[in-house]
Formats: sequence, C-alpha cells, structure tokens
Amino acid sequence: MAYQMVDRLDPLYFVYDLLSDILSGSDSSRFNQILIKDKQLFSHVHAYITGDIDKGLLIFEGKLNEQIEFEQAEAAILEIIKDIANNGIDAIELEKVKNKAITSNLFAKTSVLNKAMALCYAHLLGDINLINTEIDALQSISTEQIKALCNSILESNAAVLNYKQS
Amino acid sequence: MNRSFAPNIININNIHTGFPDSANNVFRINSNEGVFKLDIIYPNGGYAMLQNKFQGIMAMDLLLSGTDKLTAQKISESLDALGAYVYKSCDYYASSLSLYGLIDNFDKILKIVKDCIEHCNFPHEEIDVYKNKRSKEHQINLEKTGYLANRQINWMLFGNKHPYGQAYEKALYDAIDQSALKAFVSNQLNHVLYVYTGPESFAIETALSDNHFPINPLAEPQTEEALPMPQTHEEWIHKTGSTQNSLRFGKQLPGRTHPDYYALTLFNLVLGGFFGSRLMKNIREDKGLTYGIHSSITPFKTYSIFKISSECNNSLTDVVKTEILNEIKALQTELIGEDELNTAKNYFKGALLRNFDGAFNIADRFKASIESGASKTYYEDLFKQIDSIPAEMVKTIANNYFDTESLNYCVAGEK
Repeated sequence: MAYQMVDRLDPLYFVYDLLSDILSGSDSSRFNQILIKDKQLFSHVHAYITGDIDKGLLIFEGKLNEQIEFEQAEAAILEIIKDIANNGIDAIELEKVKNKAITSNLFAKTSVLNKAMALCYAHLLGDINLINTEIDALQSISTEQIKALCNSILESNAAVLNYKQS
Repeated sequence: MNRSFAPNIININNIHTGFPDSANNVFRINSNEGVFKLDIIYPNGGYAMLQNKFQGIMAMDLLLSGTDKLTAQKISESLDALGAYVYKSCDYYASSLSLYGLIDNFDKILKIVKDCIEHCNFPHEEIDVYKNKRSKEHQINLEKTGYLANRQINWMLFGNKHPYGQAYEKALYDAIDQSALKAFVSNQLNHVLYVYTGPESFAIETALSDNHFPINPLAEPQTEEALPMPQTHEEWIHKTGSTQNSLRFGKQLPGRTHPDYYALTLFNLVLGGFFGSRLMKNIREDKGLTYGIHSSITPFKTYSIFKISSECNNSLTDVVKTEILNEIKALQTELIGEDELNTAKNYFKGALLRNFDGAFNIADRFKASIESGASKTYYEDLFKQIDSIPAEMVKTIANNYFDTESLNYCVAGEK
C-alpha cells in the first residue's frame, strides 16, 4: 500500500519518518505487536518511506500468513492508522522513536567518510547547515503532528498492489 | 577544478591506529558526538574451548530473553524506549555485548543490561522458539549448495572435534537445556573487559562500578586453542536438481606471527582478495564463468585458513576448477607486474585506512584485535610491511605454500 508523501525539505518529512518508525521500527512497534504477534495476520510487515529529495512514498508492505485474505489484512493495517488518528499516541511512544532516530543520526556522523557524505547531501539539498538542524527538527515533532498525519493519510488514496500465488 | 586530470595519488606510508592503553580492564576511546558504544567482552566466553559450540552461541543469543521479573518483550521495549541498540555475540575467541546509545542514557541502559545478564533465566518458551527457528533455518540451508560446500570444506579442513568443523545438528541443539545455558553464563562470563567509546568527559569507570561491573587488573588471555585435524582431500556433495554448483578450495597456513604472513596476505589479495584480483578478472570478467569468486585468509592465534570460493553453472565446474588452478600456477611461474602489485597494495592500504575511520571503527578493530590476541602494533606493522613486499616474494610464496596438489577441494551440487 503506497501513499504519496512530501519532499525531503518539507517540515512534515520527519513526521512521516517517525510515523514509519512508530509503526514498524522495532520489535515493540505497532505493526509487529498487533499484526504479527497478536492477530498473526502477517509473517513480515513493514512501514517505510522512500526518502527521496523529491516527493516520495510512504509504503506499507507485508507478507500474509496462510489463509489470510487481503481485505482482512488491509483493514487491520488501516485500523492501526485509525487508532492513532482518533486516539493519538503517548508521549513515551514518540520519545522512543525519537531516541532511536537521534541515536542513529548521531552514529551516522561518527566517521570522516559519513560526515563528508552528510555534508554533501545537505549541500545538495540547498542548505549545508541542515546537518546541524536535523536533530532539532526531529526533537520538535509533537504527538499532535503524528495524529494529524494519520488523519490526512486516511483521507488520501493508497495505491494497493496484491500479489497472489497463481 | 579541471576534471580532465585524475587527482594525484598520494602514497600513505603509515597509520596510527589510536589503540588505547589501560592499566586495568577498562579501555577508552574518546569521541565527542553525544553517543557512546560500550563493548563488554568476555575473553573466556569464546566457543573455541566448548565441547558443543552451540551452548555458547545459544546462551548469548538468548541472553536478554527474560528474567524472573521481565519478559523478552518488556526488555526489548525498555531498551527501545531509550533509543538503545544491544548486539550480542558468541565468537570463536570471546563472547561480547555491544551497547549503543545516547550518552545521557548510559546509566539507564547499563542498568537494564546488568539486570538481564545477572538474572537471566532462559525461559523454556524462548528456548523452544529459538531451537525451532534454527531447525527451520537449517532445513532451508540444506537446499543451498553454498551452505553444503562451506560445511564440507570446514569439516575437511578442521575435522568435527574442532568448533569450526561443527555444523548444525539437531542432537547438538537438543543437548542444550536451560541449565547448560545458565552454566555457560556462570562459568564462561566470569572474566570481563570493557571498551568504551564516547565523550571524554564521561566518567566511565565510576559508571561501571556503580552498576556492579567489576574493574580489575588486566588478566592474561588464555592462549590454548584447538588445532585443525584435516580429514579428506577431495569431496563431492551431491545435491540433485541444483542448477548451480558451489566450489571451495582450502588450506591451512601459518598464523599472524609467522614472518611470511604479510606476504601471504598480499598473495591472497592478488589472487582473489578484491574485485580487481586475478580470479575475479579472469573467471568472472573475461570468461563470464561465474558471478562471484574470491579468496580469503582467516587468521587464528597460531595458524590461519586460506579458502577460495565460487559458484557456477553445473556443467562449468571442471572448467572453473582448472581456471582457478591455472591462476595459481601463473603466479608460481611468472612475476607479477609492478602496476598490478601496486594496485593491490593501494587497495589494501585504502581498505585498511577505512577500517580506522572514526572512533567507533577504531573501537571495532581494537575489540577484534584484543579478542584474537593480535599484537598491539599488528595493523601498523601490516601497513608498513605490505608496501615493501617485492614481486619476487609473491612468486616465492606462491611456490612455497600453494602447491595445487596440497589444496583441499570440494563441490556441492549436481555432477
């Protein structure tokens, strides 16, 4: 299931990024907990963003367990988005993905090679100072923004592809 | 900038590894990025000395799988909440945990990990899930000729008394129960050392001792190790219905401390150690017989193991085998050209330099070097020595160590 999303310089970019982590960034994320462990609908299921400079995609991708229908699986994914759209998320759940994102962002800049790459990329995006402000941008994201994003996802159309064994 | 000229190549003559010294079991490498890595290394935790290596591997894999009070799920949630990453491994010479996180969360992360290690009770359900998963992986592996060939060449080179010759067997896994896992933790994880990489201002020793991680004088590592017991010389593992065959050559060579070791490393590089090597250029690029082919040297404390591996279409197996042996023979009879030799040396030095890019990479190399008992100046010496090896020496090495009759050889696939 693919949704259109904003470009790299849009303030919402990191909101999409963190939402994808909330959904499937770790063992304790929502997709893993609900879709794999509790409901046992999927063997694998991921949410990720394509992360391009231009507008990209937010993608939900999963492999269904045997006997599970596509409709049922899709509905369960949307159920999770609806839950966040209606009830929001706890500050602690957001804190968790922020911590992870900040840790990996900082680790990505601990070698000369990666520092050079990050500087080049920031320069390519049009503002070399982005290398210094990314962490603040991540830090400033609120639970309200995550909730609002889920509402807007529900209002937009997804391109859905189902692959079935013939 | 005029891009029609290639940049000058500046020869780099030596490296400084930045490896730390320490009077006790805490090593520190400074990096002021706001993040830390803590390697907790158990030098007696390697599987080299275990009767059944899977005891150690399984114990480390399941080390954070639960305590009397916490489930595996709760543990991973609480580490996630702190943005922490924890990697565990049981390797040949040591077991270790590597903790990554934000320095502000150091204490909280360390507390969770300490509690998990100290009170780890290896819940039966987790053990069952783990064994089941391994068994399924094994079933899948048995379908792969690459796996079958690796297993076979290891057995041929090491024998099944040596941990490297041991492969998955259901009986070996079944023999491990909760008490064996607990025994591993209390008997093998009793001696510890630490490599801290992170902010200079952080008082690592205080943080460790506050969390009851022992700080001791540095103990001598154990040097005893199992020696390979070579078995058969040539084997075919039949796997009917496979379109691709996997070839492996192997041989035992001297270890890191032998005077020829640096030249052996260079020989391996020229033959199949990087993308511009002879095997890759001839067998993949020129003849298109394989997608990938490479050779490697794995150093142990007192010896090393040389291997060549490749995959090819069934019908081409003998052609690939002959071509590999021809490449070795060519290095025995003809001197390698200066250009080719320098390319290999420059590649090697560049790759080595990249290994030391930044404090965290240095820490990885340092950890590997203390675990394997390499001399403190090993990388610096290697860097210097590699440069001075002449083409004649590569030829001498090819003749002294790589008599093609002396190589073990196996294939897995369809004849």
